Amino acid sequence: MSPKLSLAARRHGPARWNMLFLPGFFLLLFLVAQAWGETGAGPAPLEPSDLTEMSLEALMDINVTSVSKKSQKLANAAAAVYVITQEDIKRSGVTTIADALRLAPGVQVARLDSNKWAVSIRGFNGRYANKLLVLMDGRSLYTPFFSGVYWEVQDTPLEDIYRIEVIRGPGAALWGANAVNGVINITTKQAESTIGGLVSAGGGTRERGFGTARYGFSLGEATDLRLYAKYNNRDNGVDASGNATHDDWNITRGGFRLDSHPTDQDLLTLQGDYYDGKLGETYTLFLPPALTPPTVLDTTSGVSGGNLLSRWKRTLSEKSSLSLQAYFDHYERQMVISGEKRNSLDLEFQHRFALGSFQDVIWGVGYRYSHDEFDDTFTVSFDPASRDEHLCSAFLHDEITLVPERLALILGSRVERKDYSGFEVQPNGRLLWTPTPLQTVWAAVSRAVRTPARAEQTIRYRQGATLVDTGANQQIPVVATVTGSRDFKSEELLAYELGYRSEPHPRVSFDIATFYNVYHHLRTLSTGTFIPPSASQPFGVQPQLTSNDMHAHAYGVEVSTTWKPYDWWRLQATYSYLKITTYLDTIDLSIFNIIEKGNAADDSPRNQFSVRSGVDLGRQVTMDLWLRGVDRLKFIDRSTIPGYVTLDARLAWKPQPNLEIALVGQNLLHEHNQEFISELINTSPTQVERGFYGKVTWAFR
Amino acid sequence: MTTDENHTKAHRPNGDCPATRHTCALWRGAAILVVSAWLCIVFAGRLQASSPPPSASQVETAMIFNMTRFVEWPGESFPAGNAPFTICVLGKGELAAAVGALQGKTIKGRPAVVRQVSQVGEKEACQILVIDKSERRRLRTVLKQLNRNGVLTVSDAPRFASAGGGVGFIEVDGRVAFEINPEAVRQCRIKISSQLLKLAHIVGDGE
Repeated sequence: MSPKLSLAARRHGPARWNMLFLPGFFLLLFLVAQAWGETGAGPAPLEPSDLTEMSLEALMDINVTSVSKKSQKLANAAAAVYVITQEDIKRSGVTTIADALRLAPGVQVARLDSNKWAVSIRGFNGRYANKLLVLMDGRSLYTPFFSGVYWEVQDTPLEDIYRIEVIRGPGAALWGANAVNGVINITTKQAESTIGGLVSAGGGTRERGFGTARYGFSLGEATDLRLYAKYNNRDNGVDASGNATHDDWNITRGGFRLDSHPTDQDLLTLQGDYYDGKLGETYTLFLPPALTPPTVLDTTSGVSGGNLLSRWKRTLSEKSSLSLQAYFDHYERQMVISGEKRNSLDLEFQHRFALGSFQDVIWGVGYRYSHDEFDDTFTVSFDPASRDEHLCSAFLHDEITLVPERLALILGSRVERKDYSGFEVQPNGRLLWTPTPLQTVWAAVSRAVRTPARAEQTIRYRQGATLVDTGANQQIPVVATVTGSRDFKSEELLAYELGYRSEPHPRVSFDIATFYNVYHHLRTLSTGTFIPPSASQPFGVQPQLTSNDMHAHAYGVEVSTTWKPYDWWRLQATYSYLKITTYLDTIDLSIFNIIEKGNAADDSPRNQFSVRSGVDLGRQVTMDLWLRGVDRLKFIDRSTIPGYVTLDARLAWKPQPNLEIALVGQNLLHEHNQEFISELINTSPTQVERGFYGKVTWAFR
Repeated sequence: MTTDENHTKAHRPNGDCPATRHTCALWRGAAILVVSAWLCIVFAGRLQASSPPPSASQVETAMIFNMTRFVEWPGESFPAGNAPFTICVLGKGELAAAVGALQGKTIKGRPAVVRQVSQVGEKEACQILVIDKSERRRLRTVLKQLNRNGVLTVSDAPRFASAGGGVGFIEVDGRVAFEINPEAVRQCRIKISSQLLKLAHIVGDGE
């Protein structure tokens, strides 16, 4: 054995064992807790008389947040669901929705710079991650431009969020298009829950200044309305040497939500928002006439947008209801490399009813229209510069009770037809087994499809330029151009999932989900025919055409558990493991294909964990600690982003019932660290810094 | 350029460990910390007589029992000297189920009786009417139909007190609190002591 090999073995040894140790131990611990719970050594239920002997003041001190977050829908119980509640969001100290998603297992969240995030579920993360459906009160947040989400403008006040459901795995059949690896369903509070005034404001080292004001009131017996306005100003980050970068930003937002119950069976909702912001970005551009070396440009981009949504739901009986939803969404982005304007209109109808005594059926139809206009620049242009897209879809979802209270089968499918990509069918089947009232086993097989995005079919992106020798002491610049191809087709996923959920003890809940995903026709960039320089274009063009020449296997496991050892102390832990292996289906081994292959396999961490502790110190003080770790990422030029472990802490004091003062420290274990590098369009990534902020929240009637 | 290049990591110091040596130690430290903490809690949790945490409805039920000490019903509420203290329950939900635990307890020196009712306006006298939040859509109808004389209305439905109810339970920061609409209570000829009002969030009609 060569010395090099044995050295490698010695280094690999303990580290690999370490990685298995954590998941193995979790599993062992909970099998043990499960066994204990079932041997009847469990405690007797709390006698109500114990409570009735307590004084009112003592009763008002008891923390009643439960350990289990019971899913309401059967469909959700047969899937890997994690619910992030308003209290989770508040006590974690996060300031954005994207950061709140770090609370869930199986979700990869990386902050690229002060105003950009890469968020995905079960891999394939990137700023332009495209395998995730994100909904805000039923409104789809992903843009048809790249099938992903601009997280920086999803700036809803966190105090207005009721819950965030994170559903890992294909959810297209029930939830909608683009739900390949998962669905993030964000719901805001009903207007009746936010009556009165709420003002919060604060500032700190990275959150330079922020404020939210909200007021809710009744418009009559059955109607409530709330209005809000908020402003955020965030600091820039730093580069690897600690120098300030140009990514500071600010955003102003306002909106309303109206809920009305005109009759007992009807619920009418109307809501809307508008935002306007400025983002600092740094671009590396290859501009004429010289083209190379590149110019690094600090710019300010403008973003604005608004939406209006209306929804009517009528309950026909205990098991049947109708709902009709319509929304309009508009956004604009002005960046140095491109300008984009997009208007979307979406209509959706759903009907739920019982069929016989064993079946619960939901079916629906939907239509979405999207119109865009792009301002072409040298770096980014589109052919055509403006396009209309129509998407029609229908779905059917049937929950069949095979054995009452024990076994259920769910069959569903979504059928959609989108302009420029044709007809797609996304069926799924799930089985739900409840052996005891406190245990659930579920299994699912699903097919999901990611239809081509606008960019993938029509973009011309001049990504980089190099000087190439043509002999005879001549050099010409050659521009690598990512070119969208009309032949780019949908990516496909076949997913096999298995999960188990239990409450082995009244104070403990446990959830584990595993999956095996097979992807086909994943995006690659195939080398096109070289275009030599001409009079009108004095540089060579090497097109890289979007193509579907990669397939992949992915598997992993996600574990989450909640433990309340005492009424005043709550612990939550999650762990995720993910391994993706990619294979090229072409002999075209250009650097671009190698990069796409490598990115898909390594853009997401192998292991992630999160442990949170929430303590109530008396009635007025709460203390929360959040330790989380993310494994390393390997990147484009083989540079590695190291794994990191970091800590957030929050201390809050309520001197009066309607006044809260909170101090939050974020990313405490590092002065600054890198979380990601942007792929494709080159904005300079910055490092996430340690930060502190203080916040005061005051509620009044 | 082949994928085998990924495996020759000789130039990188730590092999499979997340990059730098410092971070590797942190990973190990974090793993050991987490697992030891977990082990401690498993054992501590078992050794302590850990009872299940009380549910919101159980705490609300205990509060109802406790509140009666601070409430005075009009004299004619109790027809006979030994008449029971009647708690009527409307709706089917967690609170409706939990209130059943008050059956047989002594309230105001009388034995408490918990009765499920299906509609209001019934002739039987109730001292307390508990409306489960399952009836929230019917709240306004129920409150209108009810002969409120001498009945303290209590509910966990949202915004009960501002809809004209007497005592509404709310959840604030994971704890149970309650709103009282003093005007609504006064109209039912029920007196609430100032000690109870101090602990409550005071709410008026339509607020």
